Amino acid sequence: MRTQNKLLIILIVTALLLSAGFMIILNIQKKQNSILINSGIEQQSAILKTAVDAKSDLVYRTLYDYTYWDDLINYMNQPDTTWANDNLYTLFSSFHVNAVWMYNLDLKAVFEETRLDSIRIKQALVYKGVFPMIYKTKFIKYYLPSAQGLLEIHGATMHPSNDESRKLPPQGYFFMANLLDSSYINELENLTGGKIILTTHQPEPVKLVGNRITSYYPLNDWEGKTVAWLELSRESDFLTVFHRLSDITIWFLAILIFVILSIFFISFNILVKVPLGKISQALFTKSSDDRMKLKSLKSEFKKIGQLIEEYFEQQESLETEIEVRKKTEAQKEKLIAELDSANRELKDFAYIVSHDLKAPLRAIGSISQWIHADYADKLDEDGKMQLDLLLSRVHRMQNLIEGVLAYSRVTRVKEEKEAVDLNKLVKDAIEMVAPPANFTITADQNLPTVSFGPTRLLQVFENLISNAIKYNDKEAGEINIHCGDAGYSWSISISDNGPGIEEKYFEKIFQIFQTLKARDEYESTGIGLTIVKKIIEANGGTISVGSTPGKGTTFTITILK
Amino acid sequence: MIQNKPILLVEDDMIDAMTVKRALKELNVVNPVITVENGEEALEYLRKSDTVMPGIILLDLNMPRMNGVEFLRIAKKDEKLKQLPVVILTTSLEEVDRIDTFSLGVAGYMVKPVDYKQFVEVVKAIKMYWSLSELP
Repeated sequence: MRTQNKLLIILIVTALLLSAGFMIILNIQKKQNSILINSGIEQQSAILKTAVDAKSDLVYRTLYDYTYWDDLINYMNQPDTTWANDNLYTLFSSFHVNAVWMYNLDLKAVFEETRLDSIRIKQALVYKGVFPMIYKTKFIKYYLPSAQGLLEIHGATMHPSNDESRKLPPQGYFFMANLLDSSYINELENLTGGKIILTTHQPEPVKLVGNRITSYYPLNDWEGKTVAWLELSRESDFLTVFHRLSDITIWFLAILIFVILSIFFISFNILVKVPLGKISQALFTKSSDDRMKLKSLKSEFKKIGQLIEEYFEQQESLETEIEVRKKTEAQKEKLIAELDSANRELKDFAYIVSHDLKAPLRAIGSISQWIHADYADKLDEDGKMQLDLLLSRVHRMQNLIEGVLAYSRVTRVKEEKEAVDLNKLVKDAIEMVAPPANFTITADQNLPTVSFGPTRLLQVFENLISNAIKYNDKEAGEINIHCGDAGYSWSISISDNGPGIEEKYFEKIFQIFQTLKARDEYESTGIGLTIVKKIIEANGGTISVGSTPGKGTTFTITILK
Repeated sequence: MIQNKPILLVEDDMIDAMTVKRALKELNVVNPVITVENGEEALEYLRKSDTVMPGIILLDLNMPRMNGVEFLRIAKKDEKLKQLPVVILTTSLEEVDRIDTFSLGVAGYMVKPVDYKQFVEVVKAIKMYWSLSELP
């Protein structure tokens, strides 16, 4: 899975977690809201009750004052119109009471006055049950439906002023009634700050429409039966504020989450996904177009892009290099093959030429001898000498051809390397050369054992020793063979006490067919040292010469250990 | 030489052949000398029904068409021919040639000297060997 896809999944999971968190916050808000609504409803119910009670309280206080007033008891016992005018009718004008009744203990109405038209107050009040109740409770408040509307009726037992605590039996009963008319409703509305409706229908439990809470206050008759309800519906300020706040909060949170996610997504896209996309695209396709896009990357990705570009460049240069190397290799192989075949041809050529040269040479030699023998009587001394010279040149050419053959044999014929004990080899070489009696040849006692083709190495020592003998000009010839350690190789020197070689000939002596003496003086092909050099060098060694003219020469060869 | 059996000389060089014949004559060898020029001709001669089998074969190595070694390889597999003594007479000093031919059961390996006198010595040695050695 690509990294950017993984990051995308992480982003989605983050978004889901944030949304879940948002939902939880929303839920908490909802709960808080319902708690607030409940407390709001409670509060509102309390407000309504308080308002209603406040309204009732006025009537109640008046009632309370009147019912332990001795004058009122006196009036009940001896009704006096003047007193009633002064004191009872004022109730209507001063306290906006709609009806006033007074009964003695026989439940006979002493005072009965109402400002309401055609209302049958009396019948309404003579519910017998009210009096025993008021006798016990001293005060009563209940509601009574009437043709005019709902009446709030307050009743109390009457007591003399010395019985303020109303412990003694009552002297009579006093009632005041108030119609819950529109002015009453208005006053309630002023007190509560909401809308008041008086209804006789059983209302819904508690209603909440928007921020408007509707609460009820039940109005009971004297038996405790609810006859009407006061309904207060009020715009709840704190709910409005709370809702507005929570709306703001939620919107703010939602927008915040959205903005965070958007910023995250966009910056992820710009900072990570797009660069990573470019990088992976370039890595997958390797096309130059996609690689060009890497150059537009920024910050760390710029460096990564550069590294990738470098990597590609290196790869390309490596590929080119490999290509070039392959070509070079192929060319080299071709050259080697050509060289190899040329070399082989040359070797074969040297061999065949030398070999085929020998046959006619031999023919010349034989026939010159036959002429010498068969025509001896016809040849004079000059002719015989010339034939002898011819024969000697045939021999010389024969030697040269043998030399070429021997030289080419060094590389033409491979010899397997084996462990060669130099002590034995040097002894063999001396034996083969068969030095004259006036020569002393000495060699180190503990010569090493080396890995070399035995015949070749024998050829080397044979050549060097025989040269030392051949050219020696002293009466008592001396040859010394010494071996030294030269690190990775052995350094073996063959010294003689011969005539020595001038330094300017050091190079020449190793060249093929080069001799320092006239051939007629010393019959030499000049091939021996050339072959020695070739054998030594073909085995990774070196040959050098040092000499003091007149005193002797030292040839030093090195052989790998 | 013994039994007066012919000598088969396998040699492509006319003067070399002349040299051998002259040397044999000089050494008083009277056996007839049959000269063929290469291995093929030698085989052809040896396989002819009326051929008198030679007492010895003098074999050159470098020859056209079929060289000495090739001839030996075939001859030594041939029941009729493999017992014939073969002496190599060559210019080659090569170790390889010596090893190859001795592996193929030659009786001797002689290098042709340039000098005629030495050549006569070589032929003399062959004559001596052939005269003294017991043959099958």
